[in-house]
Amino acid sequence: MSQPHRLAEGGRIDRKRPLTFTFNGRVYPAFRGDTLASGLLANGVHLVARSLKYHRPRGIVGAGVEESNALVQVGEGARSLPNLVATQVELYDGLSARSVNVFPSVGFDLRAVNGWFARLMPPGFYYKTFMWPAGSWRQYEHQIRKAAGFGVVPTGADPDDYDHMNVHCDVLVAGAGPAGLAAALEAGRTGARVILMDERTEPGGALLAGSGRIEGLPAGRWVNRMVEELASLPEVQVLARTTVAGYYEHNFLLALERRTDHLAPGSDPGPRQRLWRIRAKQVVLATGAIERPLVFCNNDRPGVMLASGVSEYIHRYAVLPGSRAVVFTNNDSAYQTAFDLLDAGAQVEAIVDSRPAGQRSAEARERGLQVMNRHAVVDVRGAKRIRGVRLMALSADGGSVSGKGRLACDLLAVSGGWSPTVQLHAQSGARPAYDARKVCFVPGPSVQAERSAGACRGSFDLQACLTEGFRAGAAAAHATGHGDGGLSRPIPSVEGREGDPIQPLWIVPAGKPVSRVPKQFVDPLMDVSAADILTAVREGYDSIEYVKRYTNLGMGPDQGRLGNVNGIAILADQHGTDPGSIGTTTFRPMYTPVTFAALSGGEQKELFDPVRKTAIHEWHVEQGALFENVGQWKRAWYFPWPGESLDEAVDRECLAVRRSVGVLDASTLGKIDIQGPDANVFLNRVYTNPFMKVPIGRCRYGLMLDENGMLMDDGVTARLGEDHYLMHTTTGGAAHVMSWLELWLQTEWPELKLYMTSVTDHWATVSLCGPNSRRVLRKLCSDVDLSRESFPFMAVREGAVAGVPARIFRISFTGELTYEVNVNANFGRHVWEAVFDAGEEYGITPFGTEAMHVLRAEKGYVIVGQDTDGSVTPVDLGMERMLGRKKDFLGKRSLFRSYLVRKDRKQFVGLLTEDPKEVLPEGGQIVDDPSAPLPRPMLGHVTSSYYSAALERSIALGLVKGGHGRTGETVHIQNFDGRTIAARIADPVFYDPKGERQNV
Amino acid sequence: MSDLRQESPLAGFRSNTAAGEAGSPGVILTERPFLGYVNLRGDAGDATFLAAVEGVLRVALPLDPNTIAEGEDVTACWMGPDEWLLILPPGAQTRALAALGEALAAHHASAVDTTGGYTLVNVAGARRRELLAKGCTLDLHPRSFSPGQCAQTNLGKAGVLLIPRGDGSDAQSFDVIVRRSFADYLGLWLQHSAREYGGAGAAVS
Repeated sequence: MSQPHRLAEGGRIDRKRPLTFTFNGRVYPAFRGDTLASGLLANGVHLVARSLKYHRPRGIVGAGVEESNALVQVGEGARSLPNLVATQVELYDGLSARSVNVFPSVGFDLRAVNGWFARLMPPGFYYKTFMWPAGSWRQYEHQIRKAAGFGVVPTGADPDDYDHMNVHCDVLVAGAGPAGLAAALEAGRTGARVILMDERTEPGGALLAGSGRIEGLPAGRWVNRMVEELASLPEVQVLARTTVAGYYEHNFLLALERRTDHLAPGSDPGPRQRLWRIRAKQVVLATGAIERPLVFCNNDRPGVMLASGVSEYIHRYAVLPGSRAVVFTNNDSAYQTAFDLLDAGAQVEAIVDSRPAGQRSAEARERGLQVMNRHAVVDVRGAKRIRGVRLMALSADGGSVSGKGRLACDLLAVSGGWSPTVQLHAQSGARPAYDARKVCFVPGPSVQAERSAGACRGSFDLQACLTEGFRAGAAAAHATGHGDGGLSRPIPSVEGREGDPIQPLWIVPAGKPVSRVPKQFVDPLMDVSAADILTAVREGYDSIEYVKRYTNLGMGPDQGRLGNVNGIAILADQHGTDPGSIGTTTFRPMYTPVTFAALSGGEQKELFDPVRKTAIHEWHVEQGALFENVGQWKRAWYFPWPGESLDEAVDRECLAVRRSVGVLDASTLGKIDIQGPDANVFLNRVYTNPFMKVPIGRCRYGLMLDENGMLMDDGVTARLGEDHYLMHTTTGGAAHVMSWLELWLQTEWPELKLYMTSVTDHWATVSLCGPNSRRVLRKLCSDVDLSRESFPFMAVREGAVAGVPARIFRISFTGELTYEVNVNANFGRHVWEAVFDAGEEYGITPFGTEAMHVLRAEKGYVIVGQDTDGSVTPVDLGMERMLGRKKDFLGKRSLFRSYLVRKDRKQFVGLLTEDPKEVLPEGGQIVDDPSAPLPRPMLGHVTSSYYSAALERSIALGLVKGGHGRTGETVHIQNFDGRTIAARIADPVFYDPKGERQNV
Repeated sequence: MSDLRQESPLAGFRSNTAAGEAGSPGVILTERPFLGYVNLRGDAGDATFLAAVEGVLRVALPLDPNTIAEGEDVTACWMGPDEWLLILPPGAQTRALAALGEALAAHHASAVDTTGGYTLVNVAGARRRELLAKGCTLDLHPRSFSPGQCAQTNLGKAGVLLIPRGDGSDAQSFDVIVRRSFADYLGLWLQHSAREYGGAGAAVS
């Protein structure tokens, strides 16, 4: 297969590795080392895209990150990525890509009719047009959204891996062109830790795209030598295909590495993309510059390219993008492109230079080239590929044109000067400044530890890039304590030539008002023309930020890399000022798009959030338990037998506890070990009820309030020794309670002598509940007298259970005789299984959190966070008896605020439906009169509701306004199906109100 | 107690040995389960407290933040101005607790058994630092983190204690100590992150 535009030799492609790729369904040949763009150009394909708004045909413009037309969708299915620029897509054998924003094809696009009506689609068109009739926007939006945007988001789950890498360094160098290579090398030689990142396939930057020589070596060879020395330095890390995209506070930067995008899918086991999170002591920005296009009529036609891009295709990829070329410039750099074209065998019809004759034009004439000084290309001919250009003579000030001329060509290489890539500098918080001599924005004063070197600083000749690079490297390393700030060796010399200054030329005049000539694109990606900017100004949008939003200038995926400076200058002209007074728009991260997958890294699926598991978790899994999330914990929810529903399983589990014995894995409860002579003083302050005199070996239930007097946590605290306590917290509240307690201890009461240690993870808790629990435990524990007399309710004992040292608490959340056996979690499963063996004769039954919820609701026990929501006080719960009268405690004063002593607050009650089979909906709103007009006064809501197998009827708990005084009254609860259900307000303790069952 | 079956929090991962590259896998993960852990609190400004502890451990507690002190059979890790984690051989926590209880009886101090609450995974291999750097934001370079130091930090979303191990400044491996309930998550995290390095998991009891 031939590649008609491939040069016979040269380039950094690997001709020994031919490949094929598919673009818009057609297969093309290319080589390893090609980008999609160079591969297409080698095959003579210029037309690759349609523009966003007018669907004009668009071709490849540049060769690197500056490309703004050639947006493509790469890959198939779930791996497909939209919105990539063809110049950054490296080819691999079998790569498949297609144009975006075309319907039905790039060659014939139906929406191109938008272009015919372009005059009717001024800036703000959508705002202005689709406002009426009111309410119709939704219908318009559907069609507009379909027509807008770049590419298609894949719907399947991404099969690839992504991750993050945190790195620290002394010096981060962004960009591995001449300045960046020099900076990294000089900094690296000092022994500093250096990271050099570059977005391209290999380091070298512009050196790989030109024909210059350094120290007598071809630039490419010199780059190889630099890279070799960098590789020999152990503290230097060089990353290719890595774009430093974000610069944040404290010299924190983000970079995206495209690790395997250049490889066939599935050929590398590692992550596809990696987000680097970099902490750099010093940053050297060597991000280069981007060539600016010139603004003339139809300057967006395929075949109009940046001069630097043309040179890069010739040198780097051995691709000649056209055979008859015209070069149009306002500065010196494009002359090299004319020479490159000539050397590569192209016919150069003319160099059209807006400036009067100078040194470069003399040089070009010596080489036999036609140079048309003080001329301009005012328009091009051809739609899907240019066929020629229209020329006019330009006045000395560049403000008007006269005469006419034509040249036939298939390539127009343009250069409007260079824009330093100041984006990262600006993201760091600094403000770029306008340099009128260089006609570009350059870095302003640094506000973070960063410095710029080379073209990104407005230094466009190679000697300056190298000099600044080496110096920046030395200075940055020195600032981190490495080297003496001086250069390790002399700066390599480059043969340099004096040149002529650039001439600002922001809109090429066309002999008619801007509004009357064919579109002169400023931001081709967003289809913003010079006329649009003028319209915006005329309509009063005079700030660049307004113009940006009104016209979409710089709003595309390239964030105005290509077009913004021209746009700013055109706006400045309208105001009769210079671009520096207009300033730039805000540069925000990311410099180039970063995929969401890379941002999320590996934090997805099971790694999205930690799942905490108990020591007995696997047993639950083996028994077929279903789980519920409680905070980050997975707790066994219920243990269904085959064919059992949730309700059936829960009924069975509840009855087992009430009639014989059930076992709950209570390991997730928060546990805090408290030791010290002031432990009781401390507990007495943080709990509402008295804790000064808990006997050793006994437990006490406590309520913890926040500063507002609202219930925050509850649990049982046991006194294990003279100065030794163990506090239990709720599962979900454990971490918060621990920091709450430490906060008070460390900041308010540092004089108290006590230490707290979280022991939640150390203990596995096996809770045996039910009338037979004593019999089961007795089989496993011989060294503790389990009798009621010597080990009463609310006591704690130590002994061995199944041979394992254990703490046994006689506390109960079910109202039944309960032993909570705590052991070192390494033995948790051993003890758990021993309990089941021992309990077999009693039909011992594992029960989950759902049965536990039912059992405690039968007893009217609240669950903090379910029956309370941070706005409920102990008084609301009917627990005044828990409030110490003779002592102070956290939240006490708040309880006496007028709002909290009102009698009509929502109060905790039981609810019994008239129909015992009817289970109230949790969350259901409670009203007095179900037929009252809407909005109906709402009294509260149902907080907990279950069917109780033990009581053979439904039970519910809820909060009702003034509920404590309404026992026996009937209220109505709104059901989800629209019905209301009548229920009687009752005491919340439904089962064993005297508590006899737990006290046996 | 030795006849009783203990179960490590990473039991599920121990058998899950990913096939590494032949020869030297980039990452070698080894769990050291059932070590003894004691959380010690006390007044670092009280010389008698320090002396009492040293009498038991036969090594002085580290007083510089984020450092460790290694005795014959104990690693003492600085966790805070008045807090240390003692890492002991399996089972040794019982005697250590008893001895500390006795030696510190007259002091305001606490020594709490947290043996069941942790497990330890040793991360070795040529790519050990890169593996950890995927989920840890600290600087793990030998110039800033080397044997003798320790750090309480995050690995992924799990809180861990990180201890560089080995001779000299370049840690040959890192001990990662994680709370029991997070071990399963950490195992998944390590497995996922080590995949590209040909990571191998193995356990030594």
